[in-house]
Amino acid sequence: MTGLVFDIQRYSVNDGHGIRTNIFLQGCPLRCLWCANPESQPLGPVLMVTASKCIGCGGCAKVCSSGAQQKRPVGRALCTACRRCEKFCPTGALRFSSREMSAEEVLAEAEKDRPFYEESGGGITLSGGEPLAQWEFAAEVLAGAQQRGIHTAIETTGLAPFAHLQPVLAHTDLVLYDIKHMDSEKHRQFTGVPNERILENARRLPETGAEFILRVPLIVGVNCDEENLRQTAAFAAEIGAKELHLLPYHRMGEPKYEKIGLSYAFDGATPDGDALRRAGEIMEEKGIRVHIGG
Amino acid sequence: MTRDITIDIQDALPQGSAGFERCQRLRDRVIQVEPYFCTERAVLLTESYKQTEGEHMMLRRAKALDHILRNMKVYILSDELIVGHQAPKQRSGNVFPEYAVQWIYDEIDEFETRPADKFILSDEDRRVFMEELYPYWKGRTLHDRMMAMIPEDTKLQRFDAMVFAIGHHETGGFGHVVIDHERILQKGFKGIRTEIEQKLAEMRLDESNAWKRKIFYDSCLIIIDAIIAFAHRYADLAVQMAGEETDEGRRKELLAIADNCRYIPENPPATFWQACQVVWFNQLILQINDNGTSYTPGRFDQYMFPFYAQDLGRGAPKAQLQEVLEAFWIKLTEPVKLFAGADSIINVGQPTGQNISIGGLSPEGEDATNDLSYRCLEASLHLRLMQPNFTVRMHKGTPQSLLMRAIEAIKMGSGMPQLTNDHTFTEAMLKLGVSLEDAREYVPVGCMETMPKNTWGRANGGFLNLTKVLELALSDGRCRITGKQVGPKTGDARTFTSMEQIKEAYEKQMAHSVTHNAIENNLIDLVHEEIAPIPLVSLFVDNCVERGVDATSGGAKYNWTSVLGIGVANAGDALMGIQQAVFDEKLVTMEELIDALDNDFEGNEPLRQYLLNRVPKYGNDLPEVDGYVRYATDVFFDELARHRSYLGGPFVGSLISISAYVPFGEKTGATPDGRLSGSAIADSISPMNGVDLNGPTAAMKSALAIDHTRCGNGLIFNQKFTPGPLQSKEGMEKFASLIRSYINLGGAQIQFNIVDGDTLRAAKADPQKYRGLVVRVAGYSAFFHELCEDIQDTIIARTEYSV
Repeated sequence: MTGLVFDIQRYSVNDGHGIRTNIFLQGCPLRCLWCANPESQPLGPVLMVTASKCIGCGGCAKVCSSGAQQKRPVGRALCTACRRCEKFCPTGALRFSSREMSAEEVLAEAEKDRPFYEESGGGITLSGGEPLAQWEFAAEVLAGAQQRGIHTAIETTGLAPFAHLQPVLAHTDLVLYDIKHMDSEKHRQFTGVPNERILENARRLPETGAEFILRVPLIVGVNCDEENLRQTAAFAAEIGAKELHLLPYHRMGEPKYEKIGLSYAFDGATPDGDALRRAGEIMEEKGIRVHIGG
Repeated sequence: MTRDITIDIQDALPQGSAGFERCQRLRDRVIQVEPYFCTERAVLLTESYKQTEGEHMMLRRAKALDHILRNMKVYILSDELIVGHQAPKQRSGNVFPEYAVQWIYDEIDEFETRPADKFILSDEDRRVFMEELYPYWKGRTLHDRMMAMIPEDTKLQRFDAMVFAIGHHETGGFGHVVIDHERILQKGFKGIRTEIEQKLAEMRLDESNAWKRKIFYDSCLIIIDAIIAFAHRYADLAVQMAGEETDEGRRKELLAIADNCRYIPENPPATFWQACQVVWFNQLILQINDNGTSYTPGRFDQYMFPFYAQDLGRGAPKAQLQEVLEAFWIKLTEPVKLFAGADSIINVGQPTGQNISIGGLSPEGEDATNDLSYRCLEASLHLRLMQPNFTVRMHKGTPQSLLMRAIEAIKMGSGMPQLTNDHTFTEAMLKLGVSLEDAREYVPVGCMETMPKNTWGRANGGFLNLTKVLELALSDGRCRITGKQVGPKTGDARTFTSMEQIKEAYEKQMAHSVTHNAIENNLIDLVHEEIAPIPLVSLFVDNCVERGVDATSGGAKYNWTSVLGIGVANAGDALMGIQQAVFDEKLVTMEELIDALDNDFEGNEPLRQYLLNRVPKYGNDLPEVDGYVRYATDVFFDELARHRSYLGGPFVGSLISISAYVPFGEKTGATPDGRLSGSAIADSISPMNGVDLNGPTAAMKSALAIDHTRCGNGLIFNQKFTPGPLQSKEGMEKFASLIRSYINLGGAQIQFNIVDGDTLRAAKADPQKYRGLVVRVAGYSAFFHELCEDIQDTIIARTEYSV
């Protein structure tokens, strides 16, 4: 089958063991205010405009089938993703966020860095978006990779029916599982969804047999308070997590918002060294190995 | 003496110790000093030449060196443990008028202000040059002779279109050779003298070529005596200075220096300190003798190990030996050369190319790493200087601890050590007929021009611009910059209807350009043999002494002439651009494309943008375009194989640009990869700046599309990284895996540019140029140019902190 892939990043060294190829799948049910890949949220491809690259040749307006490119700013509501403008644009200023690829095509890309995986103990990591949004495709890619002897990992928010999670995890060697907030109401406030299903799926991780690591994006004003950190640590201990990664918040995704016609409204802050150390200590008190950064 | 000296991976010389501080003072002085333009050597040489007019040139060269070494200023600076300077001022440049004077005359007012490699010129030195040196030498130099003989159609390629350039060897010495210090260390010059005297005693002058050999040997004997006398002058000076020294510690050091210089290099050294002084005297006198660069010390950790181990066995502390090693290491930064402005831009930053290699396979095929390998890495980490050029030879069995320590040095950001692949270079050498044992003794000479010991590699036989050759194929042999017909008429590309026709024209233009490069190289060899024979260099290159033949006449065991191919990525990207834009997508006709190139894309920016952004580029692991790069280089290598050097050896290729990618770019018109006329071409085998968008593994796979085993004389593959990910042990281990994977895949060489805050600031100011710069921070990677300003600033600040 085919899936919508929005990026393939080789030599990824922060999402799992060794040198990895990260495969980013389109679509996510969460709407985290700090999202670094906003173009990956919708289920279909999103038009991305890099204004600084445009030389104003006007070709896009001539080839557009929907009239969207005749409008400035571009008429996103009209766009049918016919992709004619993308094909024409000589500078690459116009680009759709994702393209359709077969599992075989994805695996062919993954194969390219096999010698590097073998030397470093690496492999592939499915990320997103939320890879479970395309769970059947994800499962097929992961199964194919395992058949080829390539180590597999996924980076997930865990928000999916367990029936979708299970076939994916059946072919996953390592799960990087996000816990954003322990309070469901706050979770909804910051990500658009409550956290019950996420936590429930997390509790069932041990039974899948995959190695799993919890990941907490640390954001001042969202989840850095002592109470939430203690609850997170307790939860991690409860489900038997051995390792937890603290990912300090960054604003790397900000330029992408402009490209898809949105503005970056979130006003969170990166925790300082003391806050990071304190968060680490809280986790370690529960016997959990902590790593700062991916 | 034993190999099983305990290996200390970490420092032997503690930071803050007296020995460490001394070496830091030596370091600080050498980096503060300003280079001068010095005429002392030239005046002494000229005095000698005036006295020897009419004699055989080989003897004249020997006598001139003798006169220089017996009369030049000798001085010892405070703190020095290893002594000897090439000019009357520290780190200053000598004039070599026997090679060329016209360029100095023309550029004499520019030395203090030119953009690269400035020199201070005193009124007296200026007067001496203009009134004493120039009038005598004008019209009699090696350069004058060469220019009088070079054919017109070779000049068109060399000078008018600059398809290739052999700058240094037209106006200076050859250099570029592995110096066999080991022979001198084992036998002393006394031992070499005895060998030569035996040869002379056994010689019958009624045999063919015997007279030639006798003159060579006589010259060698004059030089050996001059070298010993030079060392004794330093011994005398040290004794005198000791007499005036009030500090007891320094007084003892000066007396020990005197003992060293009295004993060596005449005798084989008795200590590691003496052995270091021998290597330095050899390196120094080679620099005084001619203005060739890249006199390469080679496998220092191997031939120095017996002296190091012997001292340790006698109870010498490692810290003390490390101090001597670092004092020696610093001396290698002192040699600088006066080069013409144009050449100083090609080789910007005084790369004197004294390349030290450590690690790697022994001639028997075992890992040769020893404790001295780690001591060299320690010196490199402590001193962070531009010389020696520094290489770690890698193979599948290289100890992980050596690689990790090398990464610690790489992290410092100087780009050193570079890493080379023993398996690939051994195979490349075998293809050239080198024996397996000799092949395993290969080292990079200068920057990265590999050759075995005992090889007259005649490296730096000109940069040859593959992109310019493609330009000529697309312009019927006409240079787009000057409008002159410099190549054969290979057809009007406007009428071409297939890639095959373009390739055919490229191959014909390549045949023509390589032929004229070979013509000039062989002429240069003739002129050097006649005007600038090098018995001094020949003392360090087997089998010259054994055979009694100068290196310029074929005395070495292996004789090559080596040519450096550049513009590799652009040639392949341009072919891909034509295929896609004209033949696959039919966006433009050949006629329209050639018109656009003729007009430097003026009025056709969309086409240029398309070629830049929408055509696959080398560096992204895309087989089709990588195949074109492979093709462009194979045509170069195939053509080299059709020629023989002046000494009867092969023409050997390398793919190395140093900084030539800027001046050669200036002489290259617009190209179908979207490159504008006059802008830089790509560096060595690295992708064009900013087009490798898929990370280092993809760039490596692309680089591996080129046949590295055809680059017997080396190649350079530059990779840029930010220091961030190398801060953690885990990050360093992943980096080590990346390197090992590349070596396992057959990558011949790799060097890393760990990008610092300055580069990031430049990238911020000129985002287009640094488009491919990926910043990896905090679990996420991004193109630097796509980040907004305040984030860029954060990363710049963080980067500087982390370095």
